[in-house]
Amino acid sequence: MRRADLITAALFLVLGMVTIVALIPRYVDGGAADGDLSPAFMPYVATGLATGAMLLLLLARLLDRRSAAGDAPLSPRAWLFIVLVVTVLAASLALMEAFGYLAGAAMLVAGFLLVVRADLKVALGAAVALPLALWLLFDVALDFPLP
Amino acid sequence: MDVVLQGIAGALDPINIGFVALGVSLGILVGAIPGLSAPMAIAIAVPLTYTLNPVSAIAFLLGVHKGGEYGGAISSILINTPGEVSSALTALDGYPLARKGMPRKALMMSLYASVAGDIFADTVLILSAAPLALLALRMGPAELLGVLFFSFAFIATLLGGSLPKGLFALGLGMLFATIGLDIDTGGERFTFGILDLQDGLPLVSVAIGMLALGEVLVQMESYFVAGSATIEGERVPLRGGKDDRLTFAELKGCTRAILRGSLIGTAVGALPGLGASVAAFLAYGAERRASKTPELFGTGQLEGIAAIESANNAVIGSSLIPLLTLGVPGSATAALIVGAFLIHGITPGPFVFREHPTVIYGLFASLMLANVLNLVIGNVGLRFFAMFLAIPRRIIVACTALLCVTGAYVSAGSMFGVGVMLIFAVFGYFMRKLHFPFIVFLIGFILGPMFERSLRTTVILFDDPWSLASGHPLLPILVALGGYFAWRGLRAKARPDSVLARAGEEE
Repeated sequence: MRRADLITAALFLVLGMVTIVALIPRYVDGGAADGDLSPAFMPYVATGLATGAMLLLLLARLLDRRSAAGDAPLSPRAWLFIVLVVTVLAASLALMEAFGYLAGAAMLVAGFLLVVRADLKVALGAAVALPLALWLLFDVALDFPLP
Repeated sequence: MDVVLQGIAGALDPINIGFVALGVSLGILVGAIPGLSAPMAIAIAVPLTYTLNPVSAIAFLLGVHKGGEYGGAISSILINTPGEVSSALTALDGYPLARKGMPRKALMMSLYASVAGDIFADTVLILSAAPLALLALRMGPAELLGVLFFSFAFIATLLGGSLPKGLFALGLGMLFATIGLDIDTGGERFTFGILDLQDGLPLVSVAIGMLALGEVLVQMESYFVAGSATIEGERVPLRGGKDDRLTFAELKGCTRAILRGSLIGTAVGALPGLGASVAAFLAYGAERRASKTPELFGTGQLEGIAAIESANNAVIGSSLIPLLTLGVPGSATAALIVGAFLIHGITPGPFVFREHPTVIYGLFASLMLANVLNLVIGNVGLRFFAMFLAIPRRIIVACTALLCVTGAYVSAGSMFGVGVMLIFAVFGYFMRKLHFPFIVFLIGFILGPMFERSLRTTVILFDDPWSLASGHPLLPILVALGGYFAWRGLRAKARPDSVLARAGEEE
């Protein structure tokens, strides 16, 4: 955990400084009426708080060598998992946008069930039944138009 | 008096009763299924309430919350796997009791204690909210700023295992809340030319992503990496032995435990940021210390179940006290309830008693109605709810993911909301894996705009810090109190085996 904390803290420390130095001046309008605070004030306060906290975490982990042992929170398989899941989600949304709710939802359910190693028949059955049930509930019964 | 009667009449409307019953049933069901939780269900259900009237909408969501806290005990007792984080301790005594052939006794005790805790906290809410709101009306932006500072100090310190991580989550939540058009000047903040971002990030999408889909991803990962999510205990059948009935004497014997748990839960719920898990941990510890046979705790003590369940349910009612009196949501669930209020054009806070009295008294009556329905439905439907424990967790996970996507679309009315939800789901997954308190992030996201408004108004009104401090003594007092409690909280958490540290991590 110490290594993960060190990497996270260093990463967000850099991101925080980039936000303060480059992003806020560029992407936040700075003008304000007399006596009022600039719209950039709160972004600076919030980023300052987050960046300061990451500096604190970095220093704490650098000084504390006792917590060196312990499991890494993100194993290589966990990274593979997140890549897979994000791919399934992105593909499902693209399908939903292009062909409608049922196609995208079926892809999502089947993809997720295969990722969690469910039986293929179960995955296919659920991919048909679950989207259909939700479509009937939202689009037909509750009259919430789905994509 | 007329508005009170109108509110009660609205609550007793058959349609409202139906929605409260539906909410309670859904809550028990969701709570009973390990891996699903009441906040997740509320996040997904908020869009469903768009077409309801305000009382039915909010009562439905509170019904989900109340049912969910009790439902969590069902899986804790029958399969030794908590359905809700706050019910984790219920398994300590509930499961051994079930293994001894008394599952129904444990479940009934948990139901009665849950409902008693609910009634106690709701009564405190009903009696105290209006007078406190009157007091709150005398508060200006400076005092509100002090209250928010106090809340932030409390939340960032006590939730999660580490102060820097808590502060980071708070700052990041507040930063994301600034996205969109500035309310005073109309200036753009981080919109990057995207039209959808001008209204800011949609709260419901962010909440569904962080609370629900983020949790789904963590559970999916455990299947993907290890092949199974959690090691569940051996399932105990609901049909017990001849001693399985909860007697009146046993219930009477737990009165003190229920009262203690209800008091602790109510006090904890009224403080912003501390949730049901902290209340459950504190109540269990207090009950064990008060017991003449503390060594028997963990072997099937009814007092243990009674204390935990009354405490975690009492949090629900009292968490509405800061919301209705100050407009400050004390928990992620309360924040989602704010979303439901806002959808119906009602801004929670001290003015709500003047502007929407019928809704508020209708809500109070609906809370009590939900308690009665929780008792009835929990009793009658126990066998039905227990059946859902047999559904494969993989199917539940996939179904929840699809519900999240559908809920985000319905809420935002466009794929933009779904995209935001996905980004925050991945973000929530990493926060969980790296032990950052995602609840603190959400609270920072929700309270950030309120904090900014108070800060800006205070700065405009008072350019001299001394006149501000002398004219509004509550502000420095609250700031000092926030600092003091944060310091005490940090010291308490630093102690090995600290209740706050364990509960904060769980929360």
